[in-house]
Amino acid sequence: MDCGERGLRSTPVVPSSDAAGGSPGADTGTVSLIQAVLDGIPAQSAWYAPIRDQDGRITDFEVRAAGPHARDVHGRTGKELIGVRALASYPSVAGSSLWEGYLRAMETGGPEEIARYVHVETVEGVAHRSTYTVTATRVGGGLLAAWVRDDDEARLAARMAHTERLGDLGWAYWNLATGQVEWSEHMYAIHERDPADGPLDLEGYATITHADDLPLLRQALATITGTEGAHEFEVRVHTGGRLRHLRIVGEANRDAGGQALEVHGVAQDITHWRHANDQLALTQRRLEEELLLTAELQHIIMPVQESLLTLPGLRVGVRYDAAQTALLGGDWYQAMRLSDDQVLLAVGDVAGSGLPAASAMAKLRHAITGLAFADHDPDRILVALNRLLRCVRPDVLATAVVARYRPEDRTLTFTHAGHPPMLLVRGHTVQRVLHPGVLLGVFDDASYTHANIRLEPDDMLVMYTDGLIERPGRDLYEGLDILAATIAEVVRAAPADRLSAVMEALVPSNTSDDTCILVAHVKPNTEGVPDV
Amino acid sequence: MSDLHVSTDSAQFAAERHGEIGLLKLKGTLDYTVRQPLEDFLDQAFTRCGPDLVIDLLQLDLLDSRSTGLLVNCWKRSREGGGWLGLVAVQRSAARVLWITGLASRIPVFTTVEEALAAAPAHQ
Repeated sequence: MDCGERGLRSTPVVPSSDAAGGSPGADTGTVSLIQAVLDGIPAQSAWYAPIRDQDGRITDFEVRAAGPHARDVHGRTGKELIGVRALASYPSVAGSSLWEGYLRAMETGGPEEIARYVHVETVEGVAHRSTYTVTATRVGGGLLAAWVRDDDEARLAARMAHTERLGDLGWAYWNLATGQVEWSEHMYAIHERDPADGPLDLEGYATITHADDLPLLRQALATITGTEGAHEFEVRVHTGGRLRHLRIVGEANRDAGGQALEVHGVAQDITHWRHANDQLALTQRRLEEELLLTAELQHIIMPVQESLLTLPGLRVGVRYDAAQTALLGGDWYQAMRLSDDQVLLAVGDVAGSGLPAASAMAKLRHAITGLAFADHDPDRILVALNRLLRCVRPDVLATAVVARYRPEDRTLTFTHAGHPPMLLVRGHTVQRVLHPGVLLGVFDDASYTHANIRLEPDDMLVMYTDGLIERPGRDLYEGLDILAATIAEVVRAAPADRLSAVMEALVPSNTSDDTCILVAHVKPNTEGVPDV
Repeated sequence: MSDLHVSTDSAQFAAERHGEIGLLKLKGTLDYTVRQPLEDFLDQAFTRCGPDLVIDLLQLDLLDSRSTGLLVNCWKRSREGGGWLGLVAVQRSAARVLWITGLASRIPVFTTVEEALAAAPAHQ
C-alpha cells in the first residue's frame, strides 16, 4: 500500500480533454470503485492510469488497482503491483502488440484482445518466455487489462495428459440431473472409443460391461450415489474386441440436502496387472499342489509316526523335520523288529536335498532293511551299503549310524560311517558313543568294524542327523555339547516319561537342513538279564 | 597364470601354483552359508591348477559336514582325473571331522604344507 500511495502522489497526471472521466489518477473514488470490482473477479486483472507528456501523448501506464489474482513475470501479486509502470518495469513491452493494443483501447474504448502476446523478460540474466492473452478496455479514463497466461494452461493440460497416459488413467464426469457426461482424452483411449462419437452414458456403458459384472456395476453406482466418500470397484468391459479390466474410483458431489448431484470418476486400465496376478495365483496353486504331493511322497518313502514305537525291550520315538527350503530330503531312520526278536536301529543322511537325495535315501533305507533281515551285523551292512552306493549312485555321499539291539542281554552292536556320535543317557549323565568308520559312497574298498556296549534299564540312546546340532558359524561338536547339556537338564528334572520329555526337547538347530531324530528307551522293567 | 582369491564375510579361499601342484588355502568358517562360493572356487581351482592339489586347512575356524562333503568330492575328482590330493591339517582342530568321519585314514593328511608338497607324486 505504501508503494501505491507513493506512486499516486509522485506521478504527475496531466488531465486530458479526450479521456472520459477527466483526471482518472487523481480520482480516488474511481480507483476505490475499480479496486472493489477487481477484488471480486477471479481473474488476473489490473487497472492502469495513462501517463501523458506535455502534448497529451501516452508515454506509459501505471497500475492503480489490481485484482488479487494478478501476477507479473517477477512474481509480484495483487496489490504489490500498484505503482508499477508498464514500460519502466517491462521495457520489452515498448512497440509490442501489447503496447499497440493498449493505445488502441485507450483510443476506441475497446475491448481490444491481444492474443498470444509473447513476453520475454530477462530475470537475473536468464531470458524467460511467457505467453499471455490480454483483453484491454478503457474504463473510467484508465485502462482495464485482464490476462491469462497461455503456457500455464498448456503445461497443465500436458501434465494431465502425461499423468493419464502413464497411469493408464481416464477421468469421467456424470451429471445426475441433466444426464450430461464428460470424458477425458485418455478415457476414450482406454475404451478404444473415438472422441468424435462422444462419451458413453450409463446405459451405453452397461452395453460394453461384461454381463457377469453388470450387477456389480449397478451396485457400485448405488453405493457411490447413496453413501459418502469415494468408492472403488473393478469391472470388465468389452473394448475393441477384447476384454479390459478397469479399476474405477467414484465419488458423488451433493447438494445441501445430501442429494447426489454429480459423480466424478477415475478409471484405470489394470488388464496387464490383473493377468499377471491371475498367472501368479495359478502358479501358486500349482506349487501348493506340488508341495502336498511332495510331502505325500516323502511320507510314502519314509512314514514317520507320531506315536512311540514298541519294539522288543525298547520304546522308540522318531521324528523327521523337513528343511524349510526343500520338503524332500536325504535324512532317514529305520527302527524295526527283526525276525529273531532283535531290533534294528539306524539313522542316516544323504548329502543334498530334493529328488536325487530322496531317491538315494529310499534305496539305502530299503537295502538296510533287507540286509538286517539277512542277519548281518552293522559293519557288514555298511560294507554292503557302501558297495551299493558306489555301484548305483557314485555321485552320492552319505553317512549313517547302524545298530542292532539284543534285548535278552541288552547288548547294542553298532558302527558309524562318517556319522556324528550317538548320545547315551544313563541316569542324569549324557555321554558320546562313537565307533568311527569312513563315509559311505567315497571309497570302493571301504571296510568297517563294530563295537558292543551293554545298555542299562532306563538308558536312552539318541541318534540324529547333523541338522539337529549344526548351524552357521557353529561347529558340530559345539552343537553336540549344547545338545548333551539340554538333554541332561531334561532328565535331571525327573520327568514321568523320560522318552517323551527328551523327544520334546530336541529341536532342529538348522531349518535350512532336514533333520531326523531317533530316541530309543530301554524298558526299565526288562527281566531275566544277568547283572554284569 | 595369476593367483585366485575369493573372500566371503566369514571365509577366504586362495589358489596358487607350486610347479605342477596347485596349493589351495581355505581360511575362516566353512559352514553352509559359504557352500556355493566354496564349490565355485574349487571348480575354478581345478580348471587352473589341474588334478594335483594340496589343500591347506590349518587356518580353518570351522569345517561343517557339507564343506567336508565338498572336500571329499574334490578328492574323488582328483583321483578320477589321474591326480593326487593331499590335505594339510592337525587332529585337534576345526578339521577334526576328518578323523571322526574316517577320512583321515583314507586321504593323505600332513601337518605342514612343505611335507604335503614334498609328498606329492608330481613333485618327484
